[in-house]
Amino acid sequence: MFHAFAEAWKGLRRNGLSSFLSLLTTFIALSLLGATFLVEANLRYMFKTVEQGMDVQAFLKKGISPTEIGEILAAVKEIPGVSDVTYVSPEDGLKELREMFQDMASVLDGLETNNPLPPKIEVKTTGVEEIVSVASSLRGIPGVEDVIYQKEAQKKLEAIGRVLQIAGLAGVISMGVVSVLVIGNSIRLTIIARRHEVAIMKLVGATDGFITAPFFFEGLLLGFFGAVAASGMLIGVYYWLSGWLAATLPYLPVLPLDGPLTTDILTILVITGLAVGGFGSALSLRKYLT
Amino acid sequence: MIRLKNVEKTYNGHITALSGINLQVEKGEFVFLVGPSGAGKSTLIKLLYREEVPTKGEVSVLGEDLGRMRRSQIPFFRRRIGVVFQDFKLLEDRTVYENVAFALRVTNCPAREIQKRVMNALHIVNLRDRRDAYPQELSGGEQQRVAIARALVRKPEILLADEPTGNLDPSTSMEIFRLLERANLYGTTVVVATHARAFVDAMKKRVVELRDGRIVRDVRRGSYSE
Repeated sequence: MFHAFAEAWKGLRRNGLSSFLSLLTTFIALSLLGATFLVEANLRYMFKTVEQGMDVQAFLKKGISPTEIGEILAAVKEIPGVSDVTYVSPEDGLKELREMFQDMASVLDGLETNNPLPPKIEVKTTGVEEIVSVASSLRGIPGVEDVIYQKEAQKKLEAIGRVLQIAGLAGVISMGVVSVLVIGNSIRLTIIARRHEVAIMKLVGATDGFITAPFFFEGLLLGFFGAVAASGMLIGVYYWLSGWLAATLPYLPVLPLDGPLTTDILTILVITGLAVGGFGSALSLRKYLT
Repeated sequence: MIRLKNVEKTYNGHITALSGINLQVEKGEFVFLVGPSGAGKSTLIKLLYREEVPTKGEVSVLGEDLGRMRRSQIPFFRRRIGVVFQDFKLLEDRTVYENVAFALRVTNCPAREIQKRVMNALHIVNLRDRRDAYPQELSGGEQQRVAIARALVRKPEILLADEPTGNLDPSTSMEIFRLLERANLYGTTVVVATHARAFVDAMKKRVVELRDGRIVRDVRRGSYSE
């Protein structure tokens, strides 16, 4: 084991140029994969931000008693897909209106004594795709008079969400496949260059495992260093780019560069790098062993 | 030690390299394989270290039926024999010492043992002083001596050589044949395919002549040609 690892390190140093080129290839392929992941994660984040702004409003019967309101709130919380419920009394509703129409506050004068607004509840859903079913469940609750939400916006968002999910997944998977192929190919070239060495090892009675182990570790090392370099580069660029975006387009929701995001990038790239590097070289080598 | 029975070897189903080969080599023998280029000498050597398998017939070396040997067993079989080639087949990016040591490293030999045995093998081929040199810094004769040291370091039961002096001048060739003979004196069975007429004639060993894939002559204390 130790011998194989030491040999791997020597092998990388002896074949300096081709090792460097493999490392560069791994770095570029994994950077592309990481960048695709970041774009996909941000699109998902933007979508989520917009989605969470949408809610369903249910108007209740006028003069409803506090007990009934309590029962309604409890019933609403039981509906699948509901994440949050708030009760807005007619008085609170009037305050909201006043805030909205500050310039024309006089229109609302005198409504305090004869408030025409019905009491209502605002329901937030866990996702835009839940809105329709939540709305219909709300209609079935006794004491609820009417339910409204932005039908058109909901439909569009739901469609965008679906496309985004598929496209994002497809993008990450295809970049994953591309990096596997590119890295695998560069490993294959390295091994072709060293097939003479492999033939001599076989000649003196080295087992397949003995020959493969150093190549496997070389692949692991290349994959690991390529992944760490790519992650470092991406995190640096992302840090700079998100800062710049926050300054120039403040209303654009950008996924903050925090612990989880950094961990995600590192995890995805390191795992891909190790897997492709290690198994790529072991598998490519098999052809020259038989 | 080595036994071939009705061996036939064809490539791609129609190019016949060897046919009707019956040959037996006993422990401690020294055998020259002679004959013109393309007579099948190299193919015969390859059958003996299980680089090739016979199309028909039986090849048995060190008690192993090579035609039926499992792939996973080949490395362990090869550790019992040494092979030397015209083109030396050294690892270019390793020193003389490492090239010889490599043959022991693949066998999980303990490190202390490796050093002792490598230095001993290098002593036999008179290359102790060049142990840190790389193959490209050596002359052809020196490179072949490294290859012989690598073959001998495991104290093989059989030593095979395919045109070992094909790239070397006569005086260097002399050294190589002396080394092969010396290995033979220590009890190793030696089979050498060669074109070096003068040495075959001088050494008076068993000579097996191949022509068009068949054995046409097999004599004790023979010479290169009749």
